[in-house]
Amino acid sequence: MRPRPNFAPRKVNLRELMSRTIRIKKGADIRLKGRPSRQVEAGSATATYAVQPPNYLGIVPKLEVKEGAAVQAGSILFHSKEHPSVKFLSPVSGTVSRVLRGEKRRILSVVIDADGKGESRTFEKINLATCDAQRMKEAMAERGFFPFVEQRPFATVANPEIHPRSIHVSGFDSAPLAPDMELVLAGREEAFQFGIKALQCLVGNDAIQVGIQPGQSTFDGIEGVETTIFDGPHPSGNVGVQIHHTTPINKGETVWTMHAEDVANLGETLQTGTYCAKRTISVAGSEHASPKHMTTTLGCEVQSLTGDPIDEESVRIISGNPLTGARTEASGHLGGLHHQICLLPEGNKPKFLLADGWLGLGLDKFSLSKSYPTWLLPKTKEFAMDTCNNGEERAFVVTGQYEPVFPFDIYPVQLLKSILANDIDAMEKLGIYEVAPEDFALCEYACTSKIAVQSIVREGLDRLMKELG
Amino acid sequence: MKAAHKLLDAVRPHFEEGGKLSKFWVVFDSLETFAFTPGHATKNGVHIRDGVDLKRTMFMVILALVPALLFGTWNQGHQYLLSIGEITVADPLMMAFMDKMFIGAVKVLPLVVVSYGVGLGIEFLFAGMRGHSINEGYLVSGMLIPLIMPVDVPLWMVALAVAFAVIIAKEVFGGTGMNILNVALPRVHFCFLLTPNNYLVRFGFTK
Repeated sequence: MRPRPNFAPRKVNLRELMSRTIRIKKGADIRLKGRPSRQVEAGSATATYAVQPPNYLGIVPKLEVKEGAAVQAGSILFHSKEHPSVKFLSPVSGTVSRVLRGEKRRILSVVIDADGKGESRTFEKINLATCDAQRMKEAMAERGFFPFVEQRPFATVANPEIHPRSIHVSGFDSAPLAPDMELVLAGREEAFQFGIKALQCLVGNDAIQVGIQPGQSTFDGIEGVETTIFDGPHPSGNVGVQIHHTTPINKGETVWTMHAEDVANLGETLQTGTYCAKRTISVAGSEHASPKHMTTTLGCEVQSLTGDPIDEESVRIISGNPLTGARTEASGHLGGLHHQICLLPEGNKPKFLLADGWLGLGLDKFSLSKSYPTWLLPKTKEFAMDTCNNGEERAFVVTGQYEPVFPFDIYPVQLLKSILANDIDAMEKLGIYEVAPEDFALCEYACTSKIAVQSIVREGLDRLMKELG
Repeated sequence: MKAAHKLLDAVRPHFEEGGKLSKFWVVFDSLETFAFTPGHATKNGVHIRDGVDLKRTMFMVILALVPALLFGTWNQGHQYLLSIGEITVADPLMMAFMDKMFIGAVKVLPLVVVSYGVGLGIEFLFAGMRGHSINEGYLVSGMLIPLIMPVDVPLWMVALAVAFAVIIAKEVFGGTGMNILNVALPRVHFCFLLTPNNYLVRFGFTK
């Protein structure tokens, strides 16, 4: 064998050599009062559970059960009209008590009266060693896990017919009052590992990316994932930011994203053969007497989580985080993709200009603008923020306000204006494929002109999806 | 303050559609939102919003302009007293401070008043015609005028220039945030076009 000259290029994995820590400088942590304690409490079983189609974007539901039908945990309630393999399963056993409909008979919620028997449909156990991508897709579809897979571009429920380039899982949630992922996955490492192996069957090795926080040990020892450390404020925990900084999406590519808890649920379902719909959520906010983590089941009643009766005139209940969540009622149900319940004071009272209005000192307001003294106050101070708009909607006036909280190599205002102008070419060039409305949540928060940024982005994505068929 | 808001609530029906004073809804609305940040709660999207709004932003700009305005006022009086030989260059700058400020204010304040009066009048008119609320942008533009106009410009010229600038530079494009020109600068151009001699002499181009 010829000796190898010492100047020959060595086979070096640049990725391994390079530090896998990515520092996110842009963004902001909104210091809301009422962060959940590390105590994890088991939520009580509730009388009803609901699966709500509006939680899952891009889905037109087609019912497979009628009111009064008996279901088991894992029975199919409805499926997507466009992609029938995207099935939505009942989280508990019981009876379908009602199907709530809205305008144009759109299905809002399928409510199940739980019988408490805990009967579950059994699925075939999967041998991962012999499983190929097609088989795994079928297995995931049958076990109702596609609703929990989001695809980029478009940030909708994944289309099972498209093969993803990679799958991304965010290992931490950086949103205000978010649950601690260490508590969410505590004791579920084996299930999570099984879920990852299952996803590996789908996309192959080295195609599963997990973003973690500095010092986070939750994913130590998990095999088959490429971990990247993201150091920085919110939205560094958003999977969109993590994709952008590791393997950006180009036109024509599709990636899938999943919440870490859903990966563990998938693993457990495949391992045990029974449908697993666990949720460990944070119940938090300044209006909650004792903010904490709670374990419960998907679609449970909100009342079981909030505890004491709530005056809904003065307190807003949010399913999801305060930046992207949906307003709900005490009699409502936990959203399918939500991992938080937040209780915030309702801000529907006028504020006098000199007291707490626009000319006030504003010591109790958390503002990203230097016109309020937040930046002078101690960094440990937490703020009890209400849901007041704090002003009226105006046209775009202040420039350079979105960029410091938008950690993408994308011009946010230009992109928004191209969406408003319905200029598809400009949207593509400005990188709309990489973003989801949640990535713009902080821009919407910081906006002086009170523009509904997230809904503009959603509108743009919907329009693009329609255009591209 | 509850009493003040109750009073506003009591008179609101007169300004609402069908009321006697419905034409003046814009005036009522702008005064009400000036005094009280409306209790509009967030609906879709984010549930919490930053405390900053356009009113506060514009107010901060005005605050930043105040030192320049005060200096301009003082300087006007200072130059005047120098020119009539009341003081000399060797005198301390703070000498006869109040006199200087008074003389300056006599020249500068009418500019501010005319600028705000005409500009806000047009703003109210357009807001009324279009049925939207008053934009805060003019609060800053109105202050920029006295700062960029020659202090001895006739008031009728200020009024005309303000009208030109607000209508042509801003309102035809749809108001604050939609304008492609800065509102304050076209008025200077307008004045220049209106009386070129006056300007050329001032900047020493001709005699």
